[in-house]
Amino acid sequence: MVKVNKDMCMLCGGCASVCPYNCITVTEREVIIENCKECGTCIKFCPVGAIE
Amino acid sequence: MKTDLIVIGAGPAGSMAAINSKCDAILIDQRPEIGVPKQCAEGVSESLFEKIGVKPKKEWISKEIKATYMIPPSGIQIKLDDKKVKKAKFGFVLNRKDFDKGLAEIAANTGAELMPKTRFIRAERTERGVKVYAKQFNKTIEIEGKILIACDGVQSRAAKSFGLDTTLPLRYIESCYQYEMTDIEVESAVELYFGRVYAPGGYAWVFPKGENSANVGVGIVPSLAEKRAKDYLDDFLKQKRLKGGKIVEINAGAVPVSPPMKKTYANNLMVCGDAARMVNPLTGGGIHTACISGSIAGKIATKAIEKEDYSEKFLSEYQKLWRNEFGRELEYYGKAQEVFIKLTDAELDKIAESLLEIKLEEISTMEVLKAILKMNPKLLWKLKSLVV
Ligand SMILES: Cc1cc2nc3c(=O)[nH]c(=O)nc-3n(C[C@H](O)[C@H](O)[C@H](O)COP(=O)(O)OP(=O)(O)OC[C@H]3O[C@@H](n4cnc5c(N)ncnc54)[C@H](O)[C@@H]3O)c2cc1C
Ligand code: SF4
Ligand code: SF4
Repeated sequence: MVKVNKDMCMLCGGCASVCPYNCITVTEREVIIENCKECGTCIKFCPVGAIE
Repeated sequence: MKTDLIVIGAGPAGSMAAINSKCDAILIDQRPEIGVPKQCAEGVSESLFEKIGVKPKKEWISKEIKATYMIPPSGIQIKLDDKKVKKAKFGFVLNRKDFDKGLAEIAANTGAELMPKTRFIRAERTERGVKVYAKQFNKTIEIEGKILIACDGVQSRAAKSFGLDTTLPLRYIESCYQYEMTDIEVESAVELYFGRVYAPGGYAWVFPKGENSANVGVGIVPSLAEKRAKDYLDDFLKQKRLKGGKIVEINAGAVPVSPPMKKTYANNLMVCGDAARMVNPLTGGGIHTACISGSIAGKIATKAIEKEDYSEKFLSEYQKLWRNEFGRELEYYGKAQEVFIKLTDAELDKIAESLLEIKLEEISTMEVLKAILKMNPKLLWKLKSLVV
């Protein structure tokens, strides 16, 4: 299960658009990840490296 | 709650859809303040407002542009200005916060019910049409309507609810990072920096906002990148040109750089703008296409509601119309991007050199692309092999 570092995240929404399993929802104030398959796609996308 | 048309997302696509609909409409957006945060470099071409039939307010425009610089890794500058371009209308750098909010205001004033801080969760088809579940503060609300227009940007939940797959592979998305900076020297010109050193798969930009301020950013294709977008931008800032500049705002975002979605409609559904991946894959510009697709969808929705026909057959007219407007162009730019993305920095330097003396009829992506291909026949062959 990947984790978003809240202090780093810009809430840009990009990770939600690349997750092949639709696990990510980016709201106006948080990133919610459910049933992550650990493929790493979102990590590679994140402009600031907020996902570990 | 009951209405005819439900529009998800009050970005340019959603607001233009609501403005162009003549039926009962609800426009929801998860943001408490429409247009904020800004996730855009804000560059648009001259023709935007005429095309969308909206008169721009003064505060929507930050700066009128008089020239474009294209800068390859070697550092030589290809300057396109009124000496090189016959019809030298370059466009504007907008103030997206005021622009987006202004369009949403027009939508609200022309009859749509605007609901900020209302987040789309999911939708389902019903006998009457569609039912949307949304979160408003701590309450879940239900909105029943006949047609849904999905304008919820890159994240695009709404189209997925109806089974359209909008997921973008890492090769077809740009990871973007931007600083709005002040205390730097700017002209009335946009600067585009190409090459892997600056931004693999994309480019770095300086778009002037005021007397001494600009949007300074990078967009990279993650599958080609060696580090985060933020790292590329921080490296870009080290050049002399930007030394001493101060950061007043930080933005991040994603831009689809793929051909548009193959199917942008279904029973009770149309998908517009970024949600349908309607962005010029060469430039990353999507404001025009968002506005135009939204406008068309709003009009088609009105017709469908008049005729009480929300079938995919009826709504397919939407796709026909937006394809006519810009579909073929986007496909072509997509092919061109396939060619450009493979170029090495040395090849880019050579191409730039070939452009030092170019003259253009007008300034547009197509004109610049044509000039590049004319001077570099090898690229033209590569592109032709992809187009046929
Ligand atoms: C860094 C960057 C620079 C760019 N520079 C340019 C440029 O210079 N020129 C140009 O033409 N284009 C540029 N673009 C692209 C441009 O910003 C987009 O193409 C344009 O905003 C698309 O408009 P839209 O209405 O489709 O989507 P958006 O403007 O993204 O609007 C989508 C709206 O939907 C809302 N939303 C999302 N999910 C939900 C939900 N679940 N519930 C409710 N609401 C939701 C969002 O809050 C948002 O308000 C840039 C993009 C980025 C990221
Ligand atoms: S891509 Fe990164 S910065 Fe953007 S919303 Fe996801 S975690 Fe946050
Ligand atoms: S690691 Fe893969 S599956 Fe998990 S949230 Fe990220 S993109 Fe989705």
